[in-house]
Amino acid sequence: MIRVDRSIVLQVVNFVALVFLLFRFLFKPVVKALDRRSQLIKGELQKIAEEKETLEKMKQSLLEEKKNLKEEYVRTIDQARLEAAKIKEEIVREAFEEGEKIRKEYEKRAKKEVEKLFSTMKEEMVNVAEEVIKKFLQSQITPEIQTQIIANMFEEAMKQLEAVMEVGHGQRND
Amino acid sequence: MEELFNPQVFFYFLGLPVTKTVVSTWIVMAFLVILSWFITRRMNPVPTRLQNIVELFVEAIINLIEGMSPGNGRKFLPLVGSLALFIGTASIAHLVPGLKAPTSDFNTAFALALVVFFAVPFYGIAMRGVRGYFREYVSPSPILLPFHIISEITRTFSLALRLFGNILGEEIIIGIFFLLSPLFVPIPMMLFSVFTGVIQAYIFTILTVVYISAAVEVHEG
Repeated sequence: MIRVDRSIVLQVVNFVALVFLLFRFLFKPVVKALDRRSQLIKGELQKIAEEKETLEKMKQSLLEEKKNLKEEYVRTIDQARLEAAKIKEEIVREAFEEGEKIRKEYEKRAKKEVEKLFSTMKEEMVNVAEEVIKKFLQSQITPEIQTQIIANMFEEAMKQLEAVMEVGHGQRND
Repeated sequence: MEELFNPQVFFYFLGLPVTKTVVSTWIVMAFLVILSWFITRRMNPVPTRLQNIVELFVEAIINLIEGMSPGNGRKFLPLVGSLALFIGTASIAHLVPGLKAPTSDFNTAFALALVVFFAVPFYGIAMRGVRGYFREYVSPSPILLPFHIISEITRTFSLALRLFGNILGEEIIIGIFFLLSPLFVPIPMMLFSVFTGVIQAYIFTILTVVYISAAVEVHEG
């Protein structure tokens, strides 16, 4: 038969005591440990989030730097190309000027040579004419022979003149 | 069989009978407290196997309470957790030779139910105030006051009798099996009693959480 006796009081007291004892020796330390771990995990997660943020910032900064460097590189290359083009232009211009100067110098020299040749020719012709006159005067030369001699001499002089002219033209082309 | 209903009285303490049930209760209590102390004496940030089991249990109880009464998991943990641990352990104490399952004694089951009976208004008043808590007894109409009171009393008896009946029934069946074939036949039944003990602990615990949650819950209107 079910019977309720005074031991129920002891059982109530026992259970209340057990609640306090388990709170002291079990629940409190376990909850504390769970909280501590939770805090630790939260702290670690926060640290990771902060580190992630820092890394993200670093990444952004590096990307920015990379972009700047690329721009700098492109700018430098463009500038270098421009400068190279300028230098090239300068060199070509200088070379052209130098060439022009050399050409003018040679032209001048050729002109001088031609003038010198002309004067030499003139002297030669005078000499030849003197010779012809001398010979004409020394021997009796018929008018036909005289004409023939003068024509021959004139032809020879013309050939020499043409040769001189050709030499002068060749020098100018060089 | 008489021993099951009228446990042996060892001595009297302040006029109160110290029965075999009370002694078994003390042994169960000592076991639980020493085991708790042993496990929690050094709590590691990386839990050991035993610490893991204990943490799992505590978290399960907190989650059970939070599921029914959000935000109160830690407030009810000492009472609810102690009930679960004590009933679970006490219900299988009879498997240890010489011990009696304290919960198979109606005095223990009723004592636990009485604790719940007083814990409900305790938490209710603590969280809602005297007026707020007792208003529930006269709502939606004061006519319902006696029914509310009867409900409180009957559910306390129902809690006690359910626990007591199941554990006593288990003990009686195992006792009968022992009488019929003492060698191997009772073993499956004894293993089954472990399962029954855990189930009874769970039922008692969850009902306690339900009663306390209902008491602390603020009803609109």
